[in-house]
Amino acid sequence: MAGNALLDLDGVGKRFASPGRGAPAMQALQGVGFVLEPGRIMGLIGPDAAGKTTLLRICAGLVVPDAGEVAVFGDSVARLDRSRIGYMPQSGALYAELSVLQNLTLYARLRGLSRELWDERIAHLLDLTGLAPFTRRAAGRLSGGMRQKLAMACAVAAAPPLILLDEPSVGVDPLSRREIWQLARDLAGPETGIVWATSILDDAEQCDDVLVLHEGRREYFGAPAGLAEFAAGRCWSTPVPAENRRRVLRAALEQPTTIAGRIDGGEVRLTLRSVADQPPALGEGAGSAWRERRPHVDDGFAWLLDDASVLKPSAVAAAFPQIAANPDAPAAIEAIGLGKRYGDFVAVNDVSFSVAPGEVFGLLGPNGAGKSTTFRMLCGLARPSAGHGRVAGHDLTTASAEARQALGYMPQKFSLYADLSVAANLRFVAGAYGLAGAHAKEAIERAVENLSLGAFWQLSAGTLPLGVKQRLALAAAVMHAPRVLFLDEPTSGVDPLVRREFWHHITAIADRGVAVLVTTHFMDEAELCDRLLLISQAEAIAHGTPEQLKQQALAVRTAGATLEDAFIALIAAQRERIRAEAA
Amino acid sequence: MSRLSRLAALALKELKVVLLDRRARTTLVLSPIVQLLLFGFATTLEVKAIDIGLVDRDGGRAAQEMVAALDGSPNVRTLRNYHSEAALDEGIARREVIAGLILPQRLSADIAAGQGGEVLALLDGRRSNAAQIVGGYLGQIAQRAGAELRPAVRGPPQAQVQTRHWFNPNLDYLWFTMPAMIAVITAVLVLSVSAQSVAREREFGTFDKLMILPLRPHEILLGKVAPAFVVGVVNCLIYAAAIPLLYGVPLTGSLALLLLAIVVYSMSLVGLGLMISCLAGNQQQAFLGMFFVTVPLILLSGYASPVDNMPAWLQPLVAVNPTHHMIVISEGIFLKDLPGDLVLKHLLPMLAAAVVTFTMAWTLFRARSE
Repeated sequence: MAGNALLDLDGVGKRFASPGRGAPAMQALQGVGFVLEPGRIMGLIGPDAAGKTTLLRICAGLVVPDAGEVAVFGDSVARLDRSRIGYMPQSGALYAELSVLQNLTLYARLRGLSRELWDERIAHLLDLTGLAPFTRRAAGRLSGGMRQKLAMACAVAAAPPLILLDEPSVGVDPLSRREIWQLARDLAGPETGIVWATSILDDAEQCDDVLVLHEGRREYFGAPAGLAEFAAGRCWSTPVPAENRRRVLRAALEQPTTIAGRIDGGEVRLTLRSVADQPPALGEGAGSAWRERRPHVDDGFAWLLDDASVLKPSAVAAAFPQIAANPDAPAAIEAIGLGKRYGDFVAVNDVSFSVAPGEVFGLLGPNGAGKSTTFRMLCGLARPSAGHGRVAGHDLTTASAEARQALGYMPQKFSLYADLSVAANLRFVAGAYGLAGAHAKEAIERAVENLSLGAFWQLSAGTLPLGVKQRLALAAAVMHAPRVLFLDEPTSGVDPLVRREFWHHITAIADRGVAVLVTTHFMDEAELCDRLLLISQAEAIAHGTPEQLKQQALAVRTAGATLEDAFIALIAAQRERIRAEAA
Repeated sequence: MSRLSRLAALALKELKVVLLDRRARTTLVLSPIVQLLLFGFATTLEVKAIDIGLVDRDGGRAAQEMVAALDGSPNVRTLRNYHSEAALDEGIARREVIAGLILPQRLSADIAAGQGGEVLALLDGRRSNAAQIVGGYLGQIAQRAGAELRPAVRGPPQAQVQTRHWFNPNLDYLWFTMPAMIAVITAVLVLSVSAQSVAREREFGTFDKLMILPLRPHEILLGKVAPAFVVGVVNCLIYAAAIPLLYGVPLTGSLALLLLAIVVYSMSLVGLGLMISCLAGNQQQAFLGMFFVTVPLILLSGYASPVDNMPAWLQPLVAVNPTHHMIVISEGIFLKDLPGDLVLKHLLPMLAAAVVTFTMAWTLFRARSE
């Protein structure tokens, strides 16, 4: 085929043996082919376990395929000179104890960069990544965004003509994600090709081509616009008053005609299965009529991967007792002048807010800016140096165990016991919440039933697919029907299909009168929140509904219309203010 | 009630986590058995197949008795006769023999006269350990013949030979090492299990989830005691059965008392292990920390070197070392049916150690729980 293609794959297949313990063998890839020309960026998108990582590793010569042809730089991958490839694995492959500079030097050496070029190249990389002020800091102590940038810089230390990036933007805030994209473009020469694996569809729109993988098969290869085209004539939206938005969205998602839906700038937006389908009739107080919209990449993706399943009303939420709405009810979560210092470093400074029962409250902010610390202080994982936090009326410092009994918690990473079975994990959590005997049995059975975990009952939790792990983590968090739910980037690294189902449960649980505090980097998730708090450089810089945040952003500078634009504009305004004060 | 069921859920989880980890399981099941066999056969302090030289200037009845005793000893391989002291010296220098006896002319006569005889023993100072032990044998044999042994060392002049004492009649070292092994192996296993416990949670990212559950720090620590406890007690039972069966060391005392002592001993070790685990950031650090503690624990226990020979400033450390007390109890119960009050005397320091280490672990856990 094309003579100077960087990558030319045809009919690639790979099967992995069973990892043991009853898990089946897996056909990771089947008949996958594509061509990457110099100077192009290809997005490799697909849900979890679609085969993205395996395909990247095959391109890097790290995995040998069972079937098909793989040519890199016009020659068989078997004869590949690996120093000409910049491969960034998912975890980033940084040495956490080594400093930024030591990591860069090490990789420059490992990638065979000649000695006389080191200083110049490393200075260039430090300049592009903006890491120059942090050269002596250990890689493990960088924020998420900075760590990803460093990992990318290490991968391309020798300026390779082909760059393979495995989820470089996972778990990173919108601002850092933009910076990472900019960095990738800066690092790439005019003839460099990039493969960018991701499960975040915003990334896909930035690519020249996208390859959609699903269960090891190629579902689409071409321009992002072509992917969006799949959903043409199927996208509808309508403005809905804030108090009804989540309910309208949920009802629409439970219709067999709906594939996907989200809240977008005061409107409920749906993707339908067929052009012949009409959006569901709007109930009372649900605003005006539906209007057809231009499709986006995520609409096309949802249509392409549609498995004809219909979301059912959340049984998890139904297991919660309904707490009647009461405007005089005391706040479920209260932060009163919360502050946290580590030595001289101020991580959080004087943050106050409260969350009412039934409210979904989102904490937004760049990585390492105080959002997680605030969150951890409120659920009792960190002790505040100033102020205090209350959960369901219990002070976290004086009645910590009572407060923890009243809350459910779902962390960013899977944090149940990988070696234990699903059954053993749930029994442990039930026991820890003081459920014993028949009560425990009933609560566990209900959680297993409601989240369809029955088929995995005896499997070790560590071997479960990511989506099932997510459901297990949710089961463990809500088994005791807590009054307050803490979700710490609960969907980080999870694909859009799993995220949709997860939020379907969460919004339904909130409607039972449960207060939800969530941290997230996904702006579509932030849109589902009643109110948001934006924390940057240890300060709360904006507070209000998604619409109010957009208004505040427009007041400080001309920003785009999206929440992501508002996020970036508000942080930029804060940086300017600090710079002006310093000057 | 509800708090007890929480504790039970926690303990059950801890047990499963340890038992489902294949590496941990192998270590826990295989290593005690391998150690039992290795220590039993390889590190015995007994010296067998020894070659003894003899300069017999007496030739009387006492001399004949001693020669017969040496000849009959299962430990003596050859008995060589030398014509002079100088020849014997030469023999030791050339490693023909490890030790030699010089029976003076008047030996039989002196013994017969009831004055007691004196026998000179020459020992190869280059092989000081073995020579010391051989010296001990020779002393016993001489004593039975009614003579007294005067040891002298040939070889590097600095080397000293000390008379040592044995408490078991057949000079069988297994009697000494095997009961002590219970204490040593329990220390290694219980420490390795407990030192990993908190560090494992940190490394696998389960720590936050654990901390968010409505459990109190002391409950979490108590839950973590369970696997280490089971390991300690099961090992003790295996050893209590294997030692008499495999090595013929009698268990003269009460098994119940031995188990009680192991329980208290395990407590003190678990506290120590949890302290290490709270300080460690990951399992690797915990492992290194465990080594840092285990070696002094065993060296200062009297297992490998006699406590009496340690300098005075080290003696207080031995007194607070739970392994030392456990060895005393174990040997006592095995070999001489140590009575309850004496067991208690050594039990109390272990109990005190357990209280202290647990309190420290609890403090550390609370301080480092963020």
